[in-house]
Amino acid sequence: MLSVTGRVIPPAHRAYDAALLLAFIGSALLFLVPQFFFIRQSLLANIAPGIVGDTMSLDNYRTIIADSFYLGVFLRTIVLSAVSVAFGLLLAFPTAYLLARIGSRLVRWLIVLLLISSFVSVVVKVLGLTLLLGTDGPVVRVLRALSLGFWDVRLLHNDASVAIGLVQYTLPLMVMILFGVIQNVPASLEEAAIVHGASDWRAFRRVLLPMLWPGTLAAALISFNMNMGAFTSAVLLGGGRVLTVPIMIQRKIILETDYPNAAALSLLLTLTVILVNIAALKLRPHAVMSARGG
Amino acid sequence: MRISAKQVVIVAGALFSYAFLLVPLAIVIGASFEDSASVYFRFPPEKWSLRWYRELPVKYWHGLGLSCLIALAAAAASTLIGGLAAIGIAKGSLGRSPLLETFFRMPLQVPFVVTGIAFLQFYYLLFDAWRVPLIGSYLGFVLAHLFFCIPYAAGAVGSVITGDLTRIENAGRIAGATEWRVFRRLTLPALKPGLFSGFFYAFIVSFGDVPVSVFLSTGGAVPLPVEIFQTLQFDFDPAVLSISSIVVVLSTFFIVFVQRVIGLDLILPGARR
Amino acid sequence: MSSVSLERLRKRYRDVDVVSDVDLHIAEGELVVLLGPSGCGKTTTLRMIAGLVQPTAGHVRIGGEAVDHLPPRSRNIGMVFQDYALFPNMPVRENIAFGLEERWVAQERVGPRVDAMLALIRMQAFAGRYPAELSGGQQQRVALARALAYEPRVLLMDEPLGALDQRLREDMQREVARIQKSLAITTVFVTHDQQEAMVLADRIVVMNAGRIEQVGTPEQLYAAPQSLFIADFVGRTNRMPGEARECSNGVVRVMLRNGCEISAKAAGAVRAGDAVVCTIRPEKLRIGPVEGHRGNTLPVTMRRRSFLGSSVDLAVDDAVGAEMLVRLAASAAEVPASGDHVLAVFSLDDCLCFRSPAA
Repeated sequence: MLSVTGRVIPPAHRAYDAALLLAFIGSALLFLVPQFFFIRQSLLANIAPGIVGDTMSLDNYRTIIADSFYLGVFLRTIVLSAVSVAFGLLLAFPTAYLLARIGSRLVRWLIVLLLISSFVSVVVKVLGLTLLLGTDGPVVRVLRALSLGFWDVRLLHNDASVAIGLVQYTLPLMVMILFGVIQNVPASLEEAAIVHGASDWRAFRRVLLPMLWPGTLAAALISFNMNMGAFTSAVLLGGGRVLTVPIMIQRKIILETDYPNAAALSLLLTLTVILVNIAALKLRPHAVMSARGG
Repeated sequence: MRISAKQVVIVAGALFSYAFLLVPLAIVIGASFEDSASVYFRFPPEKWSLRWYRELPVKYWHGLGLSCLIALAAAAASTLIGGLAAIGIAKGSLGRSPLLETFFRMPLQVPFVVTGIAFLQFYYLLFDAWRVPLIGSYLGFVLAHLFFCIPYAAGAVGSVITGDLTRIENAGRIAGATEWRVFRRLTLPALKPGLFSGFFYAFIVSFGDVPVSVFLSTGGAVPLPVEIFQTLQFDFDPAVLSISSIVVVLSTFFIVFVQRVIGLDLILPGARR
Repeated sequence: MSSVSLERLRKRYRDVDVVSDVDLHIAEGELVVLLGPSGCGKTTTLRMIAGLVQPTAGHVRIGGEAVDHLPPRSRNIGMVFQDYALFPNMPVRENIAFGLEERWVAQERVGPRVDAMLALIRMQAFAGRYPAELSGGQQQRVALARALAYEPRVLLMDEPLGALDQRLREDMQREVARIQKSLAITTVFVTHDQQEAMVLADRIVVMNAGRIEQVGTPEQLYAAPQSLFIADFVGRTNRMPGEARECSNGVVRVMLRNGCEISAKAAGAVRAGDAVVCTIRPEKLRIGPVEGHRGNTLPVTMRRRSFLGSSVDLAVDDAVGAEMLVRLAASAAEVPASGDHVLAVFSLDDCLCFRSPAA
């Protein structure tokens, strides 16, 4: 029995093909249909709150792109997301390394803690952060006691607190991904580097990091994508002073009922994310290496 | 025993990460015992009491129940669909097509907030055209959650389909088993870790979702995270601390239960332990 | 090159001593093999010499100075790992150059040195290849070159040939021996394969359950094993359980379980009444009747023969059905047919008697 590509396939594969077809049809409907209408919306004009025009044009997009205010918000969103990813990686590396290399029964419980932290919705974590960093919270009080805050310290409602919220959001996932990646690098590689004269740092830089790079990139991109679409931290920790694209989109819907422009903004946001992902692929080294030679 | 700089960095980094992630949760629990209705955090509480546990508004319990039901349905359906997709891609006649794999991963490139409003306005459309009331409905939530849960499930199942599996299946075929028996007795058990972890992660993401669900909620149907979000945004209510603490405790029990009964191996496929 | 000394070395994990009471001196230029079954502590001992594992007690000296406080990179040692551990992101040339670069050797000197190492392992044509493109044997050689490139004082090898097939393994054993002798580098080699140990070692250190059982040249260990474990582990031997009847002047009269009485040399203290095990190497057995033979005889029944090229192995059953192995030269006179009842004969000098290990 021949397939589309001309290869002879055994009958069993037909069952798998049917499975795939089923899943594909269902998913395609779910993925594509709402998006199609959504894109269509963005091409319509917003006449009045809730009322939408009939003619299609790229006007909404033109307005947004031409406006430096919008560009500024886009930039800020990208920077916040990227910075959060960077800090997240900085924290995730040692944590994942410890989990991967420590080889004791403790690891199980450490992973349980990690899972609990990702299970609990980000709102709860943000709630905790709000209490922690608030003007009468313990951190500020400690700082005040140490006289480091004799000027009024505002730990909340700024870019930094939003970044912290974003890291809270993505850190557990980054640790889990890096944990799997590091486990796949045999410890003997690090030992070989050390025995042959490398310092811990050099062993990391010359041997471990190159092997972890594809996985790190994947973790970074996933976190970046999540950060670009998150507004929980931005709204609650930003307190109205930090404006990101997701917040703008939310306001356009809830406050202005301006669907077409919200749709246009959303599509531009999605495009930005896709472009960053594609650009990041350039950073991927071409040689495919396995940890065990041959 | 000498302690190297590397050990210090690793342990310090890991400790800080855990503190970073867990301290906010601890604070929420600690603050939930505070009697006064202020939004400021006092620890230890000025006045200990279980007031906010006794006076928990019903809407939070409804929200918790709704979130659980949605997550269950979304996780189950996405594991099924994503699992079928992963198996079909890996073992179908088209071979492991990168195009198909990208297709099923695509939803994760769409920012959550965009997904939320895309589905919102799509549901409006359906309502205007055919009077289908999906906003604020159980099905409405589940469908929207499926959008981003299917990629997780498909990825999880896909990651356990290895060359080893094909070899085992071939051994079964040579030994004389029919295709159906090969699937049932060899393939399916090998897929178990992927299916479990796919379900588990899809559940986590659906349960904790805010950006999508916030747009699809109406007065009567509000998942818990959205409920908490709205309280924090507009009208602080200390009861939010107690319901959050309950969620933390329930999550802990749930995960410890999974670890004890099913074992972490099943939800961390590909991680050798 | 440097000597290596292990003094009262001990390593404890949780409640178990995986290595205890290890005292060993390895001379400059010597190739010592740590031999033993899995879990005997040989790899842990090697890793303590390397500095990858901290001893619970005891000292490691290289060249006379204690190195316990030094990290592995400062001990000036080379190491070849069981899984080769070549850096997959670097070509062969860079792998070999790694140690030189980490020691800040001047750029001009790195190139020629790498070339010399490539010549040593005869892989000049592979300088630009990546580990994933090499076969197991080739990777092994690169790992060796990498370890030797910066002229370390000591070379450590952790079961490096385990993953190779038989033929390649024997070739590599010769290669390793040749290189080691030409560089005269002090080498500690870990393996569980006694054949490999016999081929390579100047001296063999047999380890069991964390302790050193015996140290000696291959000849010493083969001819004069100090324990039943070693007699059994180094080379093949036949075990004959029984009971000691009388013992005088180092000669023991033993009643074997198969009903025969034989005389054997006592290995260690044996008293009348002890449960014992006697050992006789397969090549020391002859098929009788032999002219003028005054030694031990055992009636056996012939079962199977295996022709091995230079020798013939005969599997025979003794009176109670226990299987024994007789090894004859290929040129030996007729080989009995299966089912024949014959006599296996051997001399008292070749038979050792050990007290039975506590059951």
